[in-house]
Amino acid sequence: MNGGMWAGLRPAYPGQTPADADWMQAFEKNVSSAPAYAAQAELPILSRMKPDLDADTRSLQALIAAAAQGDHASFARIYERTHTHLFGVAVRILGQGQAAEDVLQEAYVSIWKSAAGYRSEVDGQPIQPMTWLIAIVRNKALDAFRSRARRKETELPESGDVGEEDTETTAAPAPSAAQLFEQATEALHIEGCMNALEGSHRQSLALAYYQGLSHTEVAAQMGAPLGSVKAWIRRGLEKLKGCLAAQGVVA
Amino acid sequence: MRYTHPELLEHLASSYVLGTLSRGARRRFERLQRDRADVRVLVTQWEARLGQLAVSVPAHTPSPKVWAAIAARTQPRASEQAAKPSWLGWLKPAGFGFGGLAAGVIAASAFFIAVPTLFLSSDQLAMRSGERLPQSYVGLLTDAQGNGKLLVSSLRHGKTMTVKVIGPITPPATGRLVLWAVPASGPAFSLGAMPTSGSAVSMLPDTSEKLLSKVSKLVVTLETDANPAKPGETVVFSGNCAKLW
Repeated sequence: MNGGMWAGLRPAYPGQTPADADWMQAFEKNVSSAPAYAAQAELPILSRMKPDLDADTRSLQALIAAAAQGDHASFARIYERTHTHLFGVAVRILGQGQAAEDVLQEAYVSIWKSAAGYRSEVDGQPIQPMTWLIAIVRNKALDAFRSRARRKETELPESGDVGEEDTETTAAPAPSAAQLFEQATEALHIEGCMNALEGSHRQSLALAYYQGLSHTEVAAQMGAPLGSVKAWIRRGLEKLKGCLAAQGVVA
Repeated sequence: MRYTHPELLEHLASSYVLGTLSRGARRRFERLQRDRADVRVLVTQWEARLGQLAVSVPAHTPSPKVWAAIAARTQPRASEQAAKPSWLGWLKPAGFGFGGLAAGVIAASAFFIAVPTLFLSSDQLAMRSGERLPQSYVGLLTDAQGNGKLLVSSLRHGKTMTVKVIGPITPPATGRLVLWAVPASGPAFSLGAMPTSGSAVSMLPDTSEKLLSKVSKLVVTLETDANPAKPGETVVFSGNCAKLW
């Protein structure tokens, strides 16, 4: 079932649940900068707030439930566990910089305010806490991206254009949307299923997801007709839904 | 536009979550989500699917200032102290604009207070004034010892059911927990599988009013069959189905 394919992964922190482990393991494999994780241990504010953070064995779901009751220390723990991953999601769409940090800030404030709204299951389908958190960050990043004046095609972060700050913390250029898509489908064991799609279909879906591009922007990026791109993305989504269901990842 | 076609809703939900809708279309779809529980379910399902693609996104470390700002906004004492200077600075140049805005709000509020029935039903008015809860069907299910285990609720005219686990439940080694509605007369019918932790929301085939108006009891049974036609013999939890109005 949901997340079961990565069962048996080593825990990244004490008390990590299998669902948490799925995400942590998958993200760790793709961390481009070791300092990102090392820095987690250097959050003085968090340390002052809850000295026994490392001893906290609760799952993300339990921490969200506690945050919904107003437990700010649990909220701090959620931040500690998830912020580098969620910031990565924002950076993919907005590039590293103030805009991505603003989005991250707004997202966590929203998480704090709406923690009671998290549902662990919707219509019979388990909803991982990370799924919920990612959706909040992505929506805010997409809103910020849409609000920003459209960047020129050459400024899009497709080829690792994530700014000078980023190059200081990453050992290699950021992977392209197509590379990330390939890595994700491999991790999900649906690469064979998704490869049945034409490359243009996968590329358009990857550009939309990993860079937050609209139909029009994807069409401009790929130099393809808008109608074709809309059809490619739609077929790509249908295929993804089918492949995930066949693999038993998400119904 | 009429949002009744399931394929259209599915397409819009997937496009919204993927992010390909234009800014205006995103806003319109968000308004639709606020009004439609079935649309929210579709969006959540697509968030679960597309969220899987984020596994390959490289992590990045933000500035420590980000947490400081979040903490300041989420911890009451810290935020009060931080907010004082910015409020003072903001009020001075915005004085005239704020005055006009305040006058408008006061006028609108006065109108709202004077003739609230123009805007809200009597039931909504009662809810807002704190006199009553929204009209709902509610069930509190307990184990054989009377310990509260599940809280089931659904708005009277809504098509979604929310289940919250309120007491520890040991997940069954085999099979799954299934909720049944038991009418005063007639056969029991399934309302779906139950979570063993957290809370869950699920779509109902019709409104609660049509499904539950004659239901007096709710039971949770342990089922090994994937689609049981009637409740099994192992009743795990039970409780009354009450009308909250």
